Amino acid sequence: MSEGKFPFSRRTFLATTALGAATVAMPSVLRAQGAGVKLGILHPVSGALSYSGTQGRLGATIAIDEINAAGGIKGLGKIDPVLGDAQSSAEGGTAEVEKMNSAGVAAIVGGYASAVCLAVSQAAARYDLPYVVDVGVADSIVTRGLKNTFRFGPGFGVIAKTALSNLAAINDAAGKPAKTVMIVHEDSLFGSGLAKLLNAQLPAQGFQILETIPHPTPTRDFNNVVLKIKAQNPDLVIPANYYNEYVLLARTMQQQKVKPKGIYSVLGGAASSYKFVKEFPEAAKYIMDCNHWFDPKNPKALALKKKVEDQGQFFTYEVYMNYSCVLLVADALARAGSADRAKVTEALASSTFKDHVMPYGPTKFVNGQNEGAAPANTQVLDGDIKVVLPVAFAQAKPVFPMPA
Amino acid sequence: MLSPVILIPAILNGLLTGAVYALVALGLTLIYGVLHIINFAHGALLSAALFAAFFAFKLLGLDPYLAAFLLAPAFFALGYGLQRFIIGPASRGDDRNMLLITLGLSVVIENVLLYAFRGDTRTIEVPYAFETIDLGFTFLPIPRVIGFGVVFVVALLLWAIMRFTDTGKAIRAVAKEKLGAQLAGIDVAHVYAMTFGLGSACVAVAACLLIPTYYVNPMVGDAFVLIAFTIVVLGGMGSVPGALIGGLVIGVVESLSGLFLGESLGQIGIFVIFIAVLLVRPTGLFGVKA
Amino acid sequence: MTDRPLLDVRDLHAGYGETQVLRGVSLDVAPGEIVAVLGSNGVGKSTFNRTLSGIVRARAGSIQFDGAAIEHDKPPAIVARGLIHVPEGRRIFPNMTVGENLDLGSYRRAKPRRAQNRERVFGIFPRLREREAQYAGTLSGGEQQMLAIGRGLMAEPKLIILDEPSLGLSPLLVEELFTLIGRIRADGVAILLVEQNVVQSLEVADRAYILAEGTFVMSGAASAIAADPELKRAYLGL
Repeated sequence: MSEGKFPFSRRTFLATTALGAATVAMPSVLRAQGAGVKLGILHPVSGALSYSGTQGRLGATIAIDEINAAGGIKGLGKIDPVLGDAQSSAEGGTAEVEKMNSAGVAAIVGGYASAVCLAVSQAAARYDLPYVVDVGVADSIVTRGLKNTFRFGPGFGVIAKTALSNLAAINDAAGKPAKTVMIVHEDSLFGSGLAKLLNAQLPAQGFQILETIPHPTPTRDFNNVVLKIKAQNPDLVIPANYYNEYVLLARTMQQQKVKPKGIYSVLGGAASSYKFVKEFPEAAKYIMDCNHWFDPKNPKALALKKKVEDQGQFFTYEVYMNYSCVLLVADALARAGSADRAKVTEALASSTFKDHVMPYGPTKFVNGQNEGAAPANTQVLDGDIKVVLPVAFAQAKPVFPMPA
Repeated sequence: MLSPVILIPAILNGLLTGAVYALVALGLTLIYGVLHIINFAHGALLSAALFAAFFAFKLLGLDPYLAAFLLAPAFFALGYGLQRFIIGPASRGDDRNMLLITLGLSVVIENVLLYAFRGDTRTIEVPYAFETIDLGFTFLPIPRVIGFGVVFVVALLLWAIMRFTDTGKAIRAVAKEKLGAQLAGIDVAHVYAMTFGLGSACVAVAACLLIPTYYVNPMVGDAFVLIAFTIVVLGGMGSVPGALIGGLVIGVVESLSGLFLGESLGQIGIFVIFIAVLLVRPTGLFGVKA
Repeated sequence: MTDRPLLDVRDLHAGYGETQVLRGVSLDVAPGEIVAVLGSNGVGKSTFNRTLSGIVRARAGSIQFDGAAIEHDKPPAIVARGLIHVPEGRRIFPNMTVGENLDLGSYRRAKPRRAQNRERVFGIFPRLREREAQYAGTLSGGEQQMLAIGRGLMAEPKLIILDEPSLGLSPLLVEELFTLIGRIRADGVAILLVEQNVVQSLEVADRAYILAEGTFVMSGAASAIAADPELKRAYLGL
């Protein structure tokens, strides 16, 4: 016991001294000797978004474990994760940034929800702390000129644009069977913003919008919404809402035997979720989605999928996006050769990282946004989720209209 | 939009949902009718009951409808104990204090739930959650039809207790004539506790009816109690038939205003009614003037 | 008193908050006896009754009923012993039927004999039988008073306290009421009659107490008090 205790006390003493001195230089000196590098992993692991947050943390920690198992970051040593809980709120996120800054992290990865990401990016900017957004799609996250903020995945604008052109392509290929559309969206920033965009752009693509139905989150009864859909009988239903409501809407449609020619979602809360497909295979059948998705032809992605599923977890986009973001940061740290925040930021800004698991082009940050990022179109086919677009990554051709 | 194809199913949905609202309101109005206080802990008890039903399913594998047979007596005992040993003694004989104590109790219960289970929203999956009955022109969700039936069985049971048992008669006696009841040898503290127990048991049954298609978090009960309070005001404070009819009316109002005003504004219809009743007929549909 | 008294009150003190209402009251009632407690408004008659039935706590003194000390008992326990208080203002349950009101009379006591006691009450008050399914709130004042007494009798009382039973009744009904009081005593029930109606109370009572300012100023045979005009003028305002 006494043999093990001494080195531990000594390390604690050193760390405490470093913090007490409150200098940036002192810990970097320690890290330069290979003492390891601290990385902030911040997710909403409690509160309304806790499921997504927990999945995100899972992806990030798998990546860290893999890097550490392979000997850590060259010259810097092992990654020491500082886990934070944003408690599903912007305030929670900001508070964690303060703690992580005090703990001396080299960078922060995570955020998940746009509102959290916006707050975290701003708090991190005060300390020139590099921040990599894992998911948050709001365009304003990267348009405020914050030098420390990087988003590896696609933003809302790109996703919506891709979704619209893919929808038109799928409809055209099938001989334009779909002419009328109903949009069901949740009434906060995400759903309303998307509905507004669709209302502006769909008519130009030759679609007529019959009705746009907003609903609050949470909503636990979609009977009336589905009745309206039933009465107007649109060719396409476009849901834009979170997981619980998405599942409920799809199941209520199934229950009320409402079968449009297609259900096409943009960032659908459940449409590209293995959980949904596994639990409600009938309701999920043929649903299409334009969303974050992994590269199904990348062996590294498939290995990660197997690893996650072996742990009894679902392979959700939070997992592989966070996994990729941690790898991106590790690459930047290795190239920076230091945990110095300015150097890490510089390394991220010039990144051409391609060892990730996403169906993206070459990494290239312009004002913090990865220009190579793009969503994929998926469809629930044969009890599985298959990529149908873009063609370069596709596993199957889209089935549209839905067979009766 | 006014086509009967939508309107009739929407009204049916409203009636089915309203029945469960009525059950929550029944507990509230019963306690008001006898103790003459608004039980502010009603919502917190509903949250607690939803958690109980949730864990009965998750840990014991107990179907929510079977769990009702366990939770109703358990919550009866809990409600009885709360009133008999906490609310009653702490009020020191002044009924108005009871109101404040239930308010405090709700804060305590909600925070204990928050501490124990965090703010997460949880759901259970039962195989029959989305089964339907085909009426030809619409499909009725089976869990709601069951809920509707159970609410009427509970109401009938409650009516029979009130009508035919000495305990029920004693409750009605205390409600209107406390001194007369005391002089007839009725233990008022016991009757208060019995009433609180019955009100809590109603909440437990409502929770078991809700959990198959609803969700639970520590604050979930509050939304219901707001609706239930509107029902109690609409039906007449303390009126049991008022709570039942009021519940169905509010269910339909919510469903129709959701249909016409949109789901985001659906609840507005309820509060318009609430204010209208207070302005036009403050005693409610079945209430009598004090 | 040759027999041991059924009710024996010794030096009873009671009140509300700062106000002392009863200041050392003593009284006894023998089995089967009618005792009248007389006095003007506000001298403490109601407080006296309520202390006997346990609604108001005794501050000092003793109450012995049927051989047991009951001054610390709560109302249900006192009812269970057979001391029944029919309160001023009747205090019937207006939202319940006449039959249900009577049922609750035997809530705590004599429950197994509910059906036969109900018949007995209907024998004394035939009007209540006619009104059995009617809500008590819809009864006339006289009928409500009958119901209040009937509810008390359902518990097979050893002693029944009748608190201002004639209040608000027409002279004809008052006459009828006092006849009925005689009938109740004939069944062996002791009666403590607390009344403002001095003349008729003294006619029906065996003994009487006069309460003034929280204490009994006079007691004796009802006939003797009735015969003392000075006393009546001084304390009863006649």
